[in-house]
Amino acid sequence: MIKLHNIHKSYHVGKESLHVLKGIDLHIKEGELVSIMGSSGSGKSTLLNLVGLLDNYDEGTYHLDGNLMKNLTENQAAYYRNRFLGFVFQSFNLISFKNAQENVALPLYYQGVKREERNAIALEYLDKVGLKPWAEHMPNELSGGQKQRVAIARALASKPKLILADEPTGALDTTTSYEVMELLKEIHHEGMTVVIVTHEHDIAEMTQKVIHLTDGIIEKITEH
Amino acid sequence: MFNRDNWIEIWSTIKSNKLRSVLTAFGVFWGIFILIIMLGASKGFEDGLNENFEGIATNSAFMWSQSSSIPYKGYNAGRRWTINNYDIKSIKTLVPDLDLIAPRLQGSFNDSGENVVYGEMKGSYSVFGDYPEYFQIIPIDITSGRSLNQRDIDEERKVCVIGEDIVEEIFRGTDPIDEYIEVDNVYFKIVGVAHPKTQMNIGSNPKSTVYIPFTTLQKTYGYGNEVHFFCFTAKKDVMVEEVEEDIKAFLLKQHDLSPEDTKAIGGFNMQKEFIKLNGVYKGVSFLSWIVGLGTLLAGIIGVGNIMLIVIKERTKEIGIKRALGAQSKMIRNQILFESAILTVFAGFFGLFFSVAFLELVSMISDEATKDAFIHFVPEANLRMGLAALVILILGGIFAGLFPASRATSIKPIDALRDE
Ligand SMILES: Nc1ncnc2c1ncn2[C@@H]1O[C@H](COP(=O)(O)OP(=O)(O)OP(=O)(O)O)[C@@H](O)[C@H]1O
Ligand SMILES: [Mg+2]
Repeated sequence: MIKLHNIHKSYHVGKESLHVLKGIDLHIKEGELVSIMGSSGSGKSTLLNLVGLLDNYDEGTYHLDGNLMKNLTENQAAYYRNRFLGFVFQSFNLISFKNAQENVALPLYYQGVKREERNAIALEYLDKVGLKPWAEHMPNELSGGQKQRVAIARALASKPKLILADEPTGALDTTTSYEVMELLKEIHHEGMTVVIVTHEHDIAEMTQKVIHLTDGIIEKITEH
Repeated sequence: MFNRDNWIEIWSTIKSNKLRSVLTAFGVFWGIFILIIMLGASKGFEDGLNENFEGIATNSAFMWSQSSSIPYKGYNAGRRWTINNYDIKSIKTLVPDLDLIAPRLQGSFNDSGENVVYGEMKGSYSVFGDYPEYFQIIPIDITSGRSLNQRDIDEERKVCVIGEDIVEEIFRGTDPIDEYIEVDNVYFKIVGVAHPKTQMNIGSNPKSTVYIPFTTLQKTYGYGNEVHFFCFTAKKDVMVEEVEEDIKAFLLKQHDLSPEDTKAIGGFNMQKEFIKLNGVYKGVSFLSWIVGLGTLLAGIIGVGNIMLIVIKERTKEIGIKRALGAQSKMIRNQILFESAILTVFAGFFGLFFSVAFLELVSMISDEATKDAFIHFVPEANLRMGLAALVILILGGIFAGLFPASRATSIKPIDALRDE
């Protein structure tokens, strides 16, 4: 599903240049549940963002589902994000003036799905994450765990090939974290490829494969 | 692009950002409001001015004799002289660019009190002796009967045209035609009633004037062949000033006055006054355009400005939308549509309220300024308003253009990171 070869990425701040990813080689197969571990600043988010086509890389090659992702125009990137990828963020990133159902329906809007249909699909996914009764609620009326479940429903709604989650439990307490992880595992069981960035060991334990990132290089990969 | 979903999306963002939507809209509302008000007021001013000159031959002038100011040919300065019938006749033949000439005489100068009598009723009014040509230069409306004509002049008929106030006051509104009134002890038959066409008074207000054939008045008042003053027009495409010069030169020579004597002849040039007032109007109109367009421009810049702030405020939202697969075209169009809709909506309100406001003002001022020098009735120019609205819509889109390109030039990851 994901094939990275010798990926390099630097950030330029003023005249300074910060070499963050220093040659990443990685292969994530379809249907895998993978976590990326590493200390703060090791480049986990950077890696996930360029896998998520939110940012570009300087060197190397990246194949997503067999397609080379290089020098994409912004619109091409938007297309792949919309069709191939589902995002779950640490800070949920729901749109504050849209209710739960509308938030979930948003990626379908960008796919050109008709209104009635996308609302029905949105409701279906809210049901899947156990939030059907909250469909009409605004984000600020939901708890952190509920928000993250709405975000997961939104990531799933567009039927992506891959879910990318950057510290999905980072803002949640332990119980809620485990609930969210259960949900992600369930999705994985249904055949979805899931990549989770975390720095919590117990969360990483729940995945099949842990990629340890240290200072921009993959130190080791452990399998459970 | 124009499907229901897009409208709902746009409407929901407008609704969810109420304060800035209202602020944006207000700038535009105010811009168009002021523009329409200014243009309406200046139009009212223009109409008022034109009304004053309505029907008046603007290429006309008046002239009368005054005392000489330079000793000449043995005469002392300060000599009084008078214009006479012979002068008028000579001017007619000697000045080729002259079109019309109408000598005038005023009845009695001493405010002798009640000089007009009808049975028991009395009143004091101006009395003028006129040629029909005069009414071609300074027109009056004849509301009943007829005006003075050449036969009245030729036959020195004892007929008169009276102003409507005289009918009101002496005849109490009853039909005065063919009645006889006594004017300075001479009986005249009333043949017509006059209503002034303009607020301009030459010598007297037509409403309270008795017009008598020139020749009749000259005889009955014992004026000999004297002329008090005369008015005249220039032929088409000739400045009346040129004719004025020719006539002056003739009169100075004819009456043994120094060619340098500028005080011996008094005058009033309608064309000059008209041009002067026209200049005032042009200034007012220009000013109102400047101010109106300036305000409008400020409104449009305001929209752009607020949109820019909005984009900054909503960077994260835009980042999320792009992460979810929104094409930059969609983001850009949405912003453009938002600003266009806001401007159209606000502009429409501005148009509506300014027109309503002008209607209200004109309703009041129509009555209030009826007899004032300028009859001020502001009038909304709808064509101009719509033109302004089109400018506004284009402006609104233009105002959205810069923020929109800003919004889509930010990398999605940076937009997401924005707090
Ligand atoms: N936009 C940016 N501009 C400049 N430097 C950046 C930028 N984003 C990240 N960095 C730097 O790159 C390095 C890696 O950042 P990254 O966010 O990938 O770390 P991380 O492993 O996700 O850390 P954390 O666990 O704290 O989230 C850090 O040193 C960070 O300061
Ligand atoms: Mg991170």
